[in-house]
Formats: sequence, structure tokens, C-alpha cells
Amino acid sequence: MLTQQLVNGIVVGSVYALIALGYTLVYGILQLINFAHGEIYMMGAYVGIAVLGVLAAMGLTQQSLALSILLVFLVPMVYCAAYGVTLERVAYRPLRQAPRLSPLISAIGMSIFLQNYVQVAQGARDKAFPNLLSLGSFEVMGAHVSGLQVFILAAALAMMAGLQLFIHRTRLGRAMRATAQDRTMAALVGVDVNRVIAVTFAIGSVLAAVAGVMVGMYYGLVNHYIGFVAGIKAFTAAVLGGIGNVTGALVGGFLLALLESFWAGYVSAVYKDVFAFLVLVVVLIFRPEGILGGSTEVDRA
Amino acid sequence: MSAAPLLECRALTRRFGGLVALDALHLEVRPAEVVGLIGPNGAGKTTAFNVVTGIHPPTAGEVSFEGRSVVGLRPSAVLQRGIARTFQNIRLFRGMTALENALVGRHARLRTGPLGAILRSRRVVEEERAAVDFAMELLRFTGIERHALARADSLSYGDQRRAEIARALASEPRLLLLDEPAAGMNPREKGVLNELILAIRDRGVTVLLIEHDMRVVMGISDRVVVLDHGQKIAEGPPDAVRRDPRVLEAYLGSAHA
Amino acid sequence: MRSFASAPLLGLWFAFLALPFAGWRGALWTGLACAALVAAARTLGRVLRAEPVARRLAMAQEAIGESWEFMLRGTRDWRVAALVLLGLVAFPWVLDRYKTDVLVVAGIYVMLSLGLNVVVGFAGLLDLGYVAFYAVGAYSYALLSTWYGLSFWPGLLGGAALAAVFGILLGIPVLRLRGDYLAIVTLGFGEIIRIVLNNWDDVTRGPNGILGIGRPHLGDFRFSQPMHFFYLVLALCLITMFIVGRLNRSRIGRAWAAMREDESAAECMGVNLVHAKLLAFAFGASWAGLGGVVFAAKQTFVSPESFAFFESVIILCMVVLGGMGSVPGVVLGALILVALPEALRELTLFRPMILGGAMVLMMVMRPRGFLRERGLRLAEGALPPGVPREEGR
Repeated sequence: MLTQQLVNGIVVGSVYALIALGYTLVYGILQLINFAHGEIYMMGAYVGIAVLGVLAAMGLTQQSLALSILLVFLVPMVYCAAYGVTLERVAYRPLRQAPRLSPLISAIGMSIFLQNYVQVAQGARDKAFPNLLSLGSFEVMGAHVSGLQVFILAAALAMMAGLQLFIHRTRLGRAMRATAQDRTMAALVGVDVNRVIAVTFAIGSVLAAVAGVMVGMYYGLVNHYIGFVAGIKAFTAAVLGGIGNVTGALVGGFLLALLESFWAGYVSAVYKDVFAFLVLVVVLIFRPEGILGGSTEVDRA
Repeated sequence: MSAAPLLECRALTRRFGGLVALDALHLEVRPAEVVGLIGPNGAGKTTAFNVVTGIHPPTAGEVSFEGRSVVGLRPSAVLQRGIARTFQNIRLFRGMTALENALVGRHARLRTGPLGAILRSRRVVEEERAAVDFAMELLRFTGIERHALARADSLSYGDQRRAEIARALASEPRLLLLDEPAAGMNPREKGVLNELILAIRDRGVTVLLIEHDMRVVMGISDRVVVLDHGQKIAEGPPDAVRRDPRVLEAYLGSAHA
Repeated sequence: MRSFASAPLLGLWFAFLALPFAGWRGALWTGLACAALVAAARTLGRVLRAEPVARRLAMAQEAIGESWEFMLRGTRDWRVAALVLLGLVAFPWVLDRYKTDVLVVAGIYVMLSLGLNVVVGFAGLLDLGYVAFYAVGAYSYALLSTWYGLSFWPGLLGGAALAAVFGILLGIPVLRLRGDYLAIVTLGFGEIIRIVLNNWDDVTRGPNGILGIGRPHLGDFRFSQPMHFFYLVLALCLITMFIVGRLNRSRIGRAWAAMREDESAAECMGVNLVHAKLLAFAFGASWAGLGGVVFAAKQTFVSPESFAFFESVIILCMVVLGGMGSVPGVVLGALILVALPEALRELTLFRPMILGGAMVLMMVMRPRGFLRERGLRLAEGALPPGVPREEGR
């Protein structure tokens, strides 16, 4: 039982962490909560379904499994990057100098818009995510572990490692860190801030796309509403770890999912979402800078 | 020199991470004085204001006003005690009129609560009327009466500085902290400002001001305190401070020599 | 948007974006529509920027605002006010039952949006779970009425008070933090309330909801027809406008506005942020509670369905479109957003998209909404004569 909750928690945690990274990256640079980020994740899952549909029609899923899997991830990643960049361009960039409330309202409007768009275009009912991988399963210390779960964890860790490499080893990554520290200063030393912001949205969206496809594979079902709750959870994870802090998003994601998994296993499955919210409130009261966060928001205000 | 200090900072220290912005600062301001606080950029002048007004808690040390400690009070409570301030980068409520700005400054001296505001008894209307009269008097005093009903962000730079002073005075402070009031003003406006500050003192308000413009500081200050690296390096009448070798050294190479 | 790309390119881009969701044909239409829209907007923009048109447009905008102000000033005269009131009172006699019922719903939304306007428009705090307080009001009256037979009027007070308590409890953890956190915490709280209502079967009867809620009485008179509720809601709306207006034009309203403009400067000027925020939050919540009680009494039935997140968005939209902070603007926004779906029934499915799109557009193009805030935050008559009126606001 205990190890089983642990396994479930780790799998869900890798999803939370991937989405939380998107919140944290954007927050770090713009101090903006991108409310529409959850919808990008949801749309990633839908694009995955569309790709699978095309692949199946072409008979490619039978011929080359590896290529299919690659495409099922790659196409949603490209698409979500495009969605993220467009979102920023349309709904946030015109408001960069506006009062603080404006981009928040614009963000929530965009979130509603996208959710409803998917509902209208794809129907309100749950959509099946075709099963592509049947990897079997095995037992570890009494816990049931499926091959898919291992795959999900591995893919998530690979994405996170890639992100770390990007942030610390590339020019653009350095520009991102500089912009996060002081946007005006970064612009003065020649960083193209608009480009950095666009790239940040693209990266966050790519990670969300991966999370969306993985969730589709994991649960086999997707609907237009999944972005909403996942968004709140991932934001909680980001705050728990320390918003603006990349490592914090990972720690927060896994920690929240583990806590939640134990809560669902031992206390109440129905009130699982309530628990996540309680975690958020408790963190905000006692340690608003999060586990790994440095300065508090109070000083910055 | 014998009067009890109005404001007294003892061993006031404030660190930001590894940076020591204020280093065991001793500062006294006596009633009815105009004290100039000068020093190179980054010397800790604005930090001193922020610590005194409760924006940043001190890392160590004590601030007392009229003999009572103000450490740990919220900024609104510090204002209630009688310390008001202006800001280096003007922070008026931009979308509100100059009059409304001054009325917000009067907030702490008014009593009307939510119920009173809804019922609006005669007492409440009287209070509002008196508050408006007082605010208008201050706008007249600072010379921007004719802009009373103009939005704050439509005022000229100098008028915005004056509106900030009016807003601060509206709380009837006994100590007024002015953070670079002459910044961005032309020489004529600076002359008017000098007279305004002296008039404020004549109203019985003690003034502590941060200023880079030496003609302003030296012209109106009774006493000048020089900070460098968070420490007080000199103190005294303007003429003496001007000749102090440590002060010259601190400013050497800086633009304000 | 001018430097972004040309209209055909934009059309192509959005066609590409829509492809996985809308299919080939849908993508094609999306692309064409986008290209046409962008081209139209540009042409229109060029014409509108031309001097005579632009001036006329600005004049028209100004005229709308001024005539609105004129009308409002008019109602200060008791004769005009009586005439307007008479017109309002006559509504149910002219309209049929259904339309009267729509007006009742509109009235409840007016109350809700005026309450939210205090939080978002006056104090500048974004509350995304407003409907949770509406639910607290509705359910507390539903339970008190069905369990203990509590009548409507004390229920009205009880619902409002309980909602205010929830508002304060929720506001406390986020007091020290930036407004964004309040948004997300209220968003989460809205979900929690819905989940609890759906699952706490013993008390709320889950998704089935609560039936048989008592209707209001006034002596022997029992409110049963839409017309009766129309008068009740009309009275409550007028009271709300009165109260909200007076709060705004007072020391409290000035403190809220200052806080909205610059939080820490307001604190330095003596505004206690804790008090100001909690007051705004509690006031907004209690008004939602009030609306909830009226809603429950009118329907005699409540279920979690009525308190979905989207309701919060609709109310927020009324505030944003009408003009944050402007009482008449918000009333206008509420009336429009209730009337529009009635007029455009075939677009029900697209309603969220239209609202969401409108919110983004409004923020990008005209963040002040239909009507901007006007007038001083000051009791009428407190301004001495002879204060020079200048540039205006």
C-alpha cells in the first residue's frame, strides 16, 4: 500500500512538475501568473490525439512504433510552443505597461476562451486517448508498477534535464536568467527581452505539451476541462517549491503529488483536490517564499 | 541643542543579504530643526527613511520618536504617530486628483468608518468638509491650489513633488521626511522649494531631508548629517561639514562634489 | 499589432494553430476569418485614425459619458428620480412573466457585480472565486430554511454574515502577498466549495440539491410571482447602489482607490492595508451572500450546478466590461450580459468564448470599460464652492 502510493505519487508528480515549470519560468521573468497555462497542457493532450488519429489512418502506428511515439510527443510540443508564443503576443505583450490587474484579467479571459474553443471544436464529452504502448508491468516491493509509469518518469526526467542544460549552458538560457533577475538591466546590456519572453513561453508550453500527452496516455481519457484543475495543482506545486525557482518547481511538483497520493490513499479520495488547496494556503501563510525560494514577495512589492 | 530629540536612531543597522545598507547609525533630530541628510549614492539614506517609516524592519538597533519606540510598527502606524514622508521616485496616486491625494494623506486623522460612510450623518459630512478645507489649505500652502481637481499624473514634475508634500502634510506630522524633493526641478522651482521647506518648519513641523543639490541642503539646513556606506561620517552646521576632509574624501570622484 | 505580420500571413498562422482541433476545413475557415478580420480591422483603423473621424469618435465617446452623468445628476432631483422609479415599477405590468423573470435574474447579477466591483474595481483585488460566497449565502439559507424553517429576512442577514466570515478567513492568508496570489487562492476556494457541495451528501444532498426552500413573506403577503421578486430585487439593487456609491465617495473609498493605485505608498500615507483589504473582501463576500439568499428564495431549489467557476467569470466580466470602479458602468455591464444571451440564444455554446475574448479585447484596447470612473471620492456638498475646475479627469 505504502509503496503503491509512492509510485502513484511519483508518476503524477512528474506531470505536476512539468506544468509547474511553465508557471515558474513565466513568473520568474514577468511576475505574471499565466492562468491560461493549464489550457496549453490540455491542448497538448488533444493535439496528441489528433496526431494518433492521423498516424493510425496512415497505418504508421502498426509499422513503426518508435517513430509514432516520437511524433506523438514532437508534434504537440511544436504546436504548444506555437500556442504559447501566440498567447503571449496577443494577450500579454500589449499589457506589459498596464496596471497589474489587466494582464491577470486578460489571462483568465484567454483561459476561458481556449477551454470553450476546444469544447466547441472537439465536443464536450471525454475523448479516448488511443493506447499506443503496452509495456506490461512488474512488481516492486509489493507495488504494481507499469512500464508506462516508468516511461513517463523517464520522459519527464529527460525533459527536466534538458531544461537545466538549456538554462545553464546556452546563450539564450543565460539571457533568460539575466532577464529574470532584472529586466531593465538585461535590456540595457543588449538582451532582446521580447525574444527571451517569447522563448520562455515556448519552453513552458513545450513542457506542458509533454505533460498533456503523458496524462492522456496514462489515463486514456481527455476532456476540455483537465487544464483547469491541473493548472491550480501545478501552480500550488510552483508556490510550494518557491515560485520563480526552477528546482523549486520540481521539488514542489513531486512533493505535492506524494502528499496528495498519501492523502487520497489514507484519508479521503473525494477531497483530494481540497487537500492540494489546503497545502497552498498553509504554504502562503507560513512560508510564502516556498521551500527553496529566497527573497519574499513582500520586499519586492 | 538641549531639547529632547524628536527622532532618535541608536545603532540602527539594516542588512540586505550580505549588503550592509545601514551600519550602526546614530541620528538625532531635534524639534523645529531642518536637518539635511547627504551622502554619495548608495550611502543608505533612503534605507534610513524606509527603516524609520516601518517599510523595512531594522536588523538591529532602535528608532524612537518622541521618546517611544516605533520599531515593529506598520508604516500606517508610524504615520499615525506623526512621521510622514515623500518618495524619491514620486509615488502619487496617479489616477486620483491632487485634492484626493491630499485627502488620502488625511486618512489617519479622520474617523469615519464604513457604517458612518453609508449613513453619512451630519458629523461625517462635517468631518469631510473640514478635511477638504484642510486639504485645500495645504494645496494653497504648497502653491498648487489651482490644480486641486486635476489628475495627479497630469501635473508637471515640480507640481507633483509639491502635491506629495501636501499629501504628507495632510496627516499633520510632527516630523516630515523629504526624499530628494528638488530632484528634477529647475533653479526657479528650487528657490520656491527652499522657501516652502522653511515655511513648513515655521508651521512647527520638523524636517529631515535627503538632497543631492548642495545649494538646497546648505541653504536651509540647520544641521547636516553625512552618510557613507551606511555609516555617519560627519555631522554639524553646513559650513563645518562642507570643509570636513572626510566628507570631501567620500565625495571625491563622485558627481556631486 | 501592425508590426506583427500581414493579414494573409496571420490567417495562415491561425489556420495552422486551429488545424488539430478544427480539421482541414475548420482550419481553412479559421484562417480566412482571421485574415478577413485583421484586414478589416486595419482598414477600419486607418479610416478611424483619419482626423475628422477620430475627433468625432472621441466626441461621441465623451458625449455618452456626459449624457450618462447628466442622467445621474438628473436623478438627484426628486421629481426626475420619482419619474425614473415610476418607470421601473411599471416594468412588470408591461412585460410578460418570462421577461419579468429575466429582469429578476438581471437584478441579482447587478447586486453581485456591484459587490464584486468593490473588491476588483475599488480595491483592485482580483477575486476569481466570487461565486463561492454566492453559494455560501444560497446554501446557508437553503439549510436554515429547510431544517429550522428560518424565514427569509433573518436568512438574508445570516447568509450575508456567514459569507463575510468566509471572505475574511480566506483573505487573511494572502494579506501580505501580491494580488495574484489572492486570485489563485480565491479560484481554488471556488472549486473547493463546489466539491464540498457535491460530495457532502448528508448535508447538501450532493448533486441532487436542496428542494423546498421557503419563499419570503411580508406579514401575510407571500412572494410567489416573478413580479413580487422583481420589486424585491429592484429594492435591493437600489439599496446596493446607494451603499456602494456612498462607500466609494468617502474616506473608505479613497483608501481603497489609493491602495489600488500604489499599495505601499497608501500604507505609508496611513491606510492600514489589513483593514482596507479585509473590509473590501468581506463587503464583497457579504453582497454575494445576500444575492445567494435571494437566489435560493426565488428558485426554492439550489444545487451545486448553479455555482460553477464560469459564474464567477461571468460576474467578473460584467465588472470589467462595464468599467471597473464605475457603479453605473457595472450596472450597465450586468444588464448587457444578461440581456445578450437572451437575444442570441443560438450562440449559447459559444458564450464562454465570446466572454473570454471580450475580456482580452477589453483589456488590450480599452482597459477602462464602457464607462470610466468619474467624479470625486468625496461626499457631495463637501467641496467648497469656488474650487477651480480644471482639465477634468
